[in-house]
Amino acid sequence: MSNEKLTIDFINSLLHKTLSNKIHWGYLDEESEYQLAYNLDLTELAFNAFDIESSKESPIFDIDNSFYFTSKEQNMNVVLYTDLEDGYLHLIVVPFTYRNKLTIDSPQYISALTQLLNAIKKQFPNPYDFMDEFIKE
Amino acid sequence: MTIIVTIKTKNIEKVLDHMTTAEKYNENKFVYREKFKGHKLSVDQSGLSRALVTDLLILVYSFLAEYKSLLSYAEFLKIKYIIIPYLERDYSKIDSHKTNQYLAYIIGRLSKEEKTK
Repeated sequence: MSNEKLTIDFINSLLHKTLSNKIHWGYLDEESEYQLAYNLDLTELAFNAFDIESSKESPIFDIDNSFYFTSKEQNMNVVLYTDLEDGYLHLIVVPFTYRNKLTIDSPQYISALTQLLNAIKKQFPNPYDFMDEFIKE
Repeated sequence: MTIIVTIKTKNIEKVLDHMTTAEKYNENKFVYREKFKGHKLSVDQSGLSRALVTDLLILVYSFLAEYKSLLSYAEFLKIKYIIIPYLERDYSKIDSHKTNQYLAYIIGRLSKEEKTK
């Protein structure tokens, strides 16, 4: 199987497993998954001009549109993050060792990654949907 | 004489501006088109959601802000006064089929290559 076919099949499989809730994603925010983002170089040191000790790592990804899930059986993390600057989507398959990570971000995958992002966001409740349902009950 | 030179300079600036925007559009249109396609496939596959409508609006707004000057009058009016107000209306009044028709319109527009000379 070519790498391109394997990549497309992998994204499609992620999409279907996400839609059927077979995998559960979490927000890749700096609080909960600081170590993961830090090890993937998805943070940068933001200097505090007045107090060097208060300088801290800040994410370079859009925290509302970046997610991860962990496959404990296969010792692997999968990260889908949105670049804060240009809005590009990047999918990274990361072994627990952080060695030999694979990044999928070619333009040809934008459509499939956008679909995946939409499916992931559907896993999280929207307050307005809750209010709608609540009124209908 | 000064007035003529000023007018000519303004015209040249306008043409150069248009060429720069057209070049940028040609470079980025594939990315925009693929994002819109991804959203359209999501609507086809699992319908609309509030989050998706918001993301669509953000994308349409940013496309319009960046490339407004390249659009024909008809294209601009359709996006600004038909598509955006449709996506901004009450969520319960937004229909998947109609949304996909509007997305198809924008995807079609993004297939067009702009002249840069």
